[in-house]
Amino acid sequence: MNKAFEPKIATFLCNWCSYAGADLAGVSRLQYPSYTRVIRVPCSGRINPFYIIRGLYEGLDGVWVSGCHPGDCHYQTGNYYARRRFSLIKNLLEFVGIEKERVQFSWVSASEGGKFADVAKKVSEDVKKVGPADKMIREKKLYD
Amino acid sequence: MKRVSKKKFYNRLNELIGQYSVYAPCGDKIEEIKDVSELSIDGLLTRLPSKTYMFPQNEELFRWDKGKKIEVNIPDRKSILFGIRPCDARAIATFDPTFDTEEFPDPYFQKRRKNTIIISMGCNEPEETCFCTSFGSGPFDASGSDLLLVEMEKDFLGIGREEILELFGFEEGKGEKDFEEIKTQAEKKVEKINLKGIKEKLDALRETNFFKEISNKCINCGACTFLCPTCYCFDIEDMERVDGGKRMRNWDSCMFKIYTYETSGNNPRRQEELRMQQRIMHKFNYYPLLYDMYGCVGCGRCVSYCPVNFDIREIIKLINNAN
Amino acid sequence: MIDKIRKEAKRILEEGIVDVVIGFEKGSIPLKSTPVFIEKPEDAEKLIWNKFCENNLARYLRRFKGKKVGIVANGCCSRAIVNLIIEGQVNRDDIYIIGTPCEGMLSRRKMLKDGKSEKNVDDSYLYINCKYCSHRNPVIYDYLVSEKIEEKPAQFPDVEEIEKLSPEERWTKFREEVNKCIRCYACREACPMCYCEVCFVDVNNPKWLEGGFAESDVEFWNLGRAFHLAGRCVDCGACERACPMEIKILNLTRKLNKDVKELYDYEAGLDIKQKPLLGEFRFEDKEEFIR
Repeated sequence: MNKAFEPKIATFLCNWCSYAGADLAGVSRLQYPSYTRVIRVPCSGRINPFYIIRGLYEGLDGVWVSGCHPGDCHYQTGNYYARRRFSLIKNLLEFVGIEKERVQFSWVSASEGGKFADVAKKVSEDVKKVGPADKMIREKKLYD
Repeated sequence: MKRVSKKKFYNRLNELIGQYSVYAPCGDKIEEIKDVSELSIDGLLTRLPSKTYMFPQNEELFRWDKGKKIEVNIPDRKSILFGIRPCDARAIATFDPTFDTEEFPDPYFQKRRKNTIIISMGCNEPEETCFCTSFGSGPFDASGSDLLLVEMEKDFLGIGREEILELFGFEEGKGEKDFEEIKTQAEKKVEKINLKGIKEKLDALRETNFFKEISNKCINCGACTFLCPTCYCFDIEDMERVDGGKRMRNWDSCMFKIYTYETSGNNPRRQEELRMQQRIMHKFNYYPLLYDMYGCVGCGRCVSYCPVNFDIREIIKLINNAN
Repeated sequence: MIDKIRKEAKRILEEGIVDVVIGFEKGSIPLKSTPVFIEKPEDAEKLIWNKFCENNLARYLRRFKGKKVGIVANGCCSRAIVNLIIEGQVNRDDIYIIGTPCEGMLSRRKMLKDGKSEKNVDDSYLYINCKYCSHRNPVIYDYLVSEKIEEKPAQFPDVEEIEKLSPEERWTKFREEVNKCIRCYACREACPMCYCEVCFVDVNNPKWLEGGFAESDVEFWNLGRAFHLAGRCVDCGACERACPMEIKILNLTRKLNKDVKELYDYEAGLDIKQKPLLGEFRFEDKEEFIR
């Protein structure tokens, strides 16, 4: 490999907690790898588990979803429903052999800028360790 | 009868592998082989029929790049399709009135058809679900094949076109009596259902409740249409890529509920019985009406693989009794 | 047992309690029973019950909306009916359930391959989900045809065996199985819980996956369908039995059933007062996997 592997990690952040936490990390000038590409959603409950499968299908190296802590959801209960979906999809993907480091979840609150940077570093390290994605990826190019 | 030893035949086939692309049943489907040792045609009927070769499940129609240059790649290689059953070979002929016409030629099918030598293997031991004799055919019907092989212990008997027999080194020899015996034994095992006047009987049932009554148990899964050697419904899909795109033709099934689903939301064949009526009429009424041939060859795959045992042979008996 | 099924079916048709009875009759090929729809009381003689009644009849219930339907249901079929009631697809009052305790169905394909006939009915050919079935008695019924039989606890040794393999081995196993798929959708149509007007594979907006059978598409389809059945699958095995390519779909669905039982102590279709698994939550739900 001429260049070091730079993973692409789709990062779904809930608007009220995790996205605000990421913003705080930025304002506080905390360093974390730039592999995470953020997609802002109103609530972690908005995440259809198929987004995670679709992310891997498109060739992303990792998918990270982050929401409010249980009990602190802006919409009261969105993250509770999400929690069940996340555990099932994670187990299913791990069961068929997708590396468990590729799909990760966290609870990050609006005041946890430090935690956000920490988790971002850990997720990026994990995904870098398992290497580029090579499973269930759809055809991208027609002409070589 | 024309006769050749199996050893000589397979050697010749191996020699031809460079000049021709040779396709043969490999387990479940038909694949290209690079050496005769890869052949495994023990099972009588491959699960997936001969149309996986003649009318592939995914066929690229054309592709384009970012500059919008369109490229049409129609495979144009001399090929041999070896080891399919006579019913599968006849099924290829049922595609001709639809795909090989002057008015609406399908170049993909036409080229492949013109380039392929079809060598079929007669059925010494037909399956329980076979009913090819109902169509005036049989386990050793050479129509539809360029060469039909009859498997003996060490030799093949051959029935077919002169030039193909010569190509594989067939010579005159004994075997007429043995062949008659094998043929009679095999034909006894095949069920012959009565198809006389089926087209008219179906015309009479058109506006009745008959199809509603029989189609209750069908779950519209599409397995029968995918495994049927004469079914050819397809769907066209454009697939975008980073550097261009391609238009693919994929198998579709008239049994799917959304097959006739229109953009407006209207669905002319929303109910199960309408789809079942269409399928049976297509095979036993519309095809005879338009092209004077049946749209079914009696291979029996739909009977063996239907999850709920919807048996077309039983249905035809019911149609015969209904009048 | 068969006599009681026929008598009860005849009675509910004669007394007008139902318009049609869905059950099984003798099939036209060896070792197969086929669904039958009885409307006249005298036709009730056609009904049978044996170890080859492998389809899930609850799949037909939604077709008879507005009519009163009788159905011959074993454990998994009755659970599917409960699930359909929970999800608002059928009315309890429109269904009359003739419950039959069931000891499992035999794999006709394996038996035919080994040259067995109806005379050598042998439990070593039981389908995998029947072998480890934990609900052999119907969970809901209006008439029970015979004494209830002993239940075994839920167990998933087939899934556990796969879980022991390394990730690379699991991926190879999954890929080999699923690449046989020809996207005929027999599994989806045979399943009583797959009743969406437009399935996610056919939806064009958003277009989740492409047509044809590229590896990635076939893998997405099978994973996606298995996931949509999380907490709804009643482990009847109709999908694997319907598949013309003999793909081991149960590996995926049983894995989800195992997780759902272990993580949330939930089994689909046991009680009509249950709530759907993903439609509720507990504060104590496990979350060790979340950072």
